[in-house]
Amino acid sequence: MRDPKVVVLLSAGIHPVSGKARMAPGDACALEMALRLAPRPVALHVGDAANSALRDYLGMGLDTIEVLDTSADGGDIVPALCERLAALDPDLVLTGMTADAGEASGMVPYLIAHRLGIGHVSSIASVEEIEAGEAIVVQAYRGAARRRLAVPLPAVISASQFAPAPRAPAFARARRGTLQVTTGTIEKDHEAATWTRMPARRRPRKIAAGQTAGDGAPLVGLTPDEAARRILDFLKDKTIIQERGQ
Amino acid sequence: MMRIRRQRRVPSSPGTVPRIDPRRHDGENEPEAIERVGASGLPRRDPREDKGQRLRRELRTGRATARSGRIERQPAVPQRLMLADDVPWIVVVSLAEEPWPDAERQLLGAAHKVADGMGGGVVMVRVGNGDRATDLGRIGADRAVLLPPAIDPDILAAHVVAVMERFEARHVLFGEGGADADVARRTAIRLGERPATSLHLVSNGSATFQEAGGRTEVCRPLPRVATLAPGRFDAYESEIAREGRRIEIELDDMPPGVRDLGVVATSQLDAPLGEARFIVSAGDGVTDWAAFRAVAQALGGTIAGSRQVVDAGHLPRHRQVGASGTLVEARCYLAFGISGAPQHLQGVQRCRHVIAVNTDLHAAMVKRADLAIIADAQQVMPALARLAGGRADA
Repeated sequence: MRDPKVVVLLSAGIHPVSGKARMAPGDACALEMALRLAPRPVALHVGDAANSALRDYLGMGLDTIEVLDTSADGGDIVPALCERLAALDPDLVLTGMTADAGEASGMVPYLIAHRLGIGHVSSIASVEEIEAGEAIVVQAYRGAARRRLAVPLPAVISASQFAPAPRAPAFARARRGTLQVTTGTIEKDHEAATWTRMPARRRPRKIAAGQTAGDGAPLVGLTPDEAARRILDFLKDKTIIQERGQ
Repeated sequence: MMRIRRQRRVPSSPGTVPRIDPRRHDGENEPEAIERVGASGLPRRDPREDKGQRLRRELRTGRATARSGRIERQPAVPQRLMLADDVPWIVVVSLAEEPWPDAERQLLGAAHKVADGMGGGVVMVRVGNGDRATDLGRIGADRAVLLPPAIDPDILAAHVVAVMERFEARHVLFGEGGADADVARRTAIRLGERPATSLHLVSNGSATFQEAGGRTEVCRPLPRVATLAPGRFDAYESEIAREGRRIEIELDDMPPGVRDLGVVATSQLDAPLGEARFIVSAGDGVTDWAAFRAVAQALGGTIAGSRQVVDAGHLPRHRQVGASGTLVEARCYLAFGISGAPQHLQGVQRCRHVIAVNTDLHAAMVKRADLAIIADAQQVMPALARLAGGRADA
């Protein structure tokens, strides 16, 4: 398919140590994916138009970002995004896996796909091809083999951390890019307002058994064939390799 | 001039703690914890004393088990049966690939914490075969439902919802990571719930998670759908096994929304180490590189190496495992001729299973391994390649 219509959703992140505004790493990966698919993807942001992270996104190669400037912080952005997306009618909507600030539940792509009634695939490392009515994507999970999937278009695609690393923002492009700001309001999150918040406490992670020491006694004096047989049996027992041809 | 005044030792009067002479100390009837009252009136504990007591106690129990015969294989583990079906159920879902080692057990542990608070039971939903060896009752499942494997997460989510409806379950818990997190969110969409994700604590109907960046902790009521952060919960450990009764559930067939085009074949030198599932790794003990490549090819593993072989130029730098290379999280790590420097062991810390082939019985890698074979890698590698290759033909 020539020139698919690609929309990328961008959010502003917060650096975990310095607390400064930054690009959300997942959304930067999604933007990199979008720039490889289409020269001029549409970028959407809901939040504060004065956030300096938006300039970084512009520096990666965007001409303009559509910003819905909201005064309230931490509302429900999904209805606003869905309204704009329905008007744009894109082939692909790209997002990161989770936001980099706030609740970061990673639910936005699921809710958008559900409301628009389109498909959604998560943890995508690359979009290989866009054919008529179908996108061929590669799904990657840690500790699992990569899988190739065919997704009917239009679809929401979440870029995983194994997607190609985002390009560095260019200063001049960041200055040149423009923000199309429209002011609006979003609904307040009344449910989250009732939750109690406090500064985080450090809780050490529990060490799972078998991480520091194994539980097998070493086998001494095996012939090479016996040793190989033991290794193969172990691998089959733990379903690392499948028994084929049976 | 200052003079140090020694207090004269007074014989212990009734009501004070008696002094113990360590040489004439009888280990069997010692007081469990000796508490002295300090000058401030608060009880003081001597940490060295506590440690000594702990060591003596361990020694004593060790001797007792040695006397009664060390290998105590209980033929019949006591079991707690869950007869009633109308108790509040907590569902735990585990896909074929655990998102992190021990995820299943940690999920069951957390589920029991929730279930015990409301007098309920735990239903374990397992997709695909998983680790066939584990007894589901032993790891804490009251009921078990085995679902057929499916590639489309929407179908899995529909099946999970069907299981929840069958049991009228109160909560469903997933691991936060991998495909499990994906299915969890789809389940929440189907149920119309707002899920709690990456939970660090679950207690008494409330759930605690950290906001992105880990600066703020948020406490909210536990919703129906929740995912648990890795390594935050204790596994279910009890002498009493659960029932683990299999339940069959009628499932509707659904057309898959995405088409599966199969596993992507990546070159064994290009596949990123950080996400590799099975790694075949070489150390200084490997000299026959043709055999090493043949083994990796035959087993379908990703190639990696220790710092020494990368420094020597046998493998490219991005194949290095360890503190100065990549920290890998493979399901299985097969190490040929690696002695296991601390930096290397740090790199394989998160691997589920480790197999070591080494000539040195006292190598650190051999201690870490789940299956350790004391042999020369040059002889084992060709044999393994032949057997694994023959397996493909058979």
